[in-house]
Amino acid sequence: MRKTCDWCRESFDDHLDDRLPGRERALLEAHLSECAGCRQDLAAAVRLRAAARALPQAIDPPRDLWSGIAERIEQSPREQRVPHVRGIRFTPSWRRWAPLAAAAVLLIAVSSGLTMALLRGPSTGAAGAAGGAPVPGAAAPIDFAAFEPIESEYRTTVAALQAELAARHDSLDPVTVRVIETNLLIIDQAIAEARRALAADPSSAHLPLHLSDIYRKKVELLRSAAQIRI
Amino acid sequence: MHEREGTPLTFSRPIANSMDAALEVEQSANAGPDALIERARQGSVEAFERLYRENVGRVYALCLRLSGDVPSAEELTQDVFVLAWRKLASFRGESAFSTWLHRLTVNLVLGRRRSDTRRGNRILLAEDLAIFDDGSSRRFDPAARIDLETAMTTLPEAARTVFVMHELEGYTHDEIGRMTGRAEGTCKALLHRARKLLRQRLER
Repeated sequence: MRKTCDWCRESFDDHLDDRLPGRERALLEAHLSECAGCRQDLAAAVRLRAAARALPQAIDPPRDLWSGIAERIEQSPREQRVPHVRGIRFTPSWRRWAPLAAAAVLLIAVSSGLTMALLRGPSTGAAGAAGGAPVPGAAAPIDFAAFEPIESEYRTTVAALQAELAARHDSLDPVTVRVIETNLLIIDQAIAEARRALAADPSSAHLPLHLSDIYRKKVELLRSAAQIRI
Repeated sequence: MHEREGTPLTFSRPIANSMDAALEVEQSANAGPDALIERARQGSVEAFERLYRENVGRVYALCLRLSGDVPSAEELTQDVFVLAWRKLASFRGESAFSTWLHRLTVNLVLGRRRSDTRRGNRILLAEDLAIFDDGSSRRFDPAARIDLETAMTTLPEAARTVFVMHELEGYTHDEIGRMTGRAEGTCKALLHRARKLLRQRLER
């Protein structure tokens, strides 16, 4: 099947880019062997492409444009510009993280109340659970086993948040990922130390509070990471 | 480890203090382009000016070749950098900053044209391509000898766009079609027209 000149000219780019399938390349070459006009057109296209690619990639503007830019960026709010918080930027856009992060907030609130109730001892009952102030110097020995359900809740929430973060890993800024991972490592080390201390001294009144506080920081860090805009 | 009632708990290494200190880890201003970009992201206008000076030539060249005239190119260049400042938070570092900026430039320049595009996407016949001669190009003086750079400015806008994007910037017809809202076949036809016009103007 013989090809028309129009078809040949439309095939030049694929031919020059070496993307023409074998059969069509043969047809093109057959046409070129017979058509001087298309041969000249192809040669001209080759020369033109070479000249175009030899042009400089950069051209200095005839005047300095910076002052106009500087003036505008001072007046222009940045997209999603939020306060710099401990090396992590976050935005209000939650998307599918919202339910998980909301659950984390609830967990923090509930566990804080429970932790305080634990520290005050069983005699405070509802008043303690409602967040009333503890009696100074009256910290009763606590049952570490009673703290374990709270810790279990934290771990469940943390695991879910970490799974979500892992799923977004490749989409996040590598610098931000490094900051998050470094901070998570430090928090995990602190958790391990606090647990070891609590295991050695289960009657401590402060260790559960410290451990709860550390878990809270971990959940807050993961929540902040969840809000980072991709 | 034991605590005395009424006294703060202490450890050989205060967990809370070291953790808080560590959580204050900031990105130190290390030497290198990454640090410059990070400083700009954190709001440093001085750092962003350095990024501007390092990249303005490339951005201006693209704007000049796509627009075909200096005033438009200057305006577009400024628009690109203002947009880059606003969107810097979305730069993830997966590509070079210059590559990201280049993409921003292409999208900005072509995006402004898409809303003005009222042509169809059907494959155009050769004679149809005359509608792309919209008179936006500089008046061509056939008597003057011109170089390729100047000749490109005399092309009709649509043909010039395809020529610049394909022959200089290396985009495929499929990519150009998607960016300009035209069919791939239309882009090929426009490129052919651009080559024909340039050949006429350069070989006189």
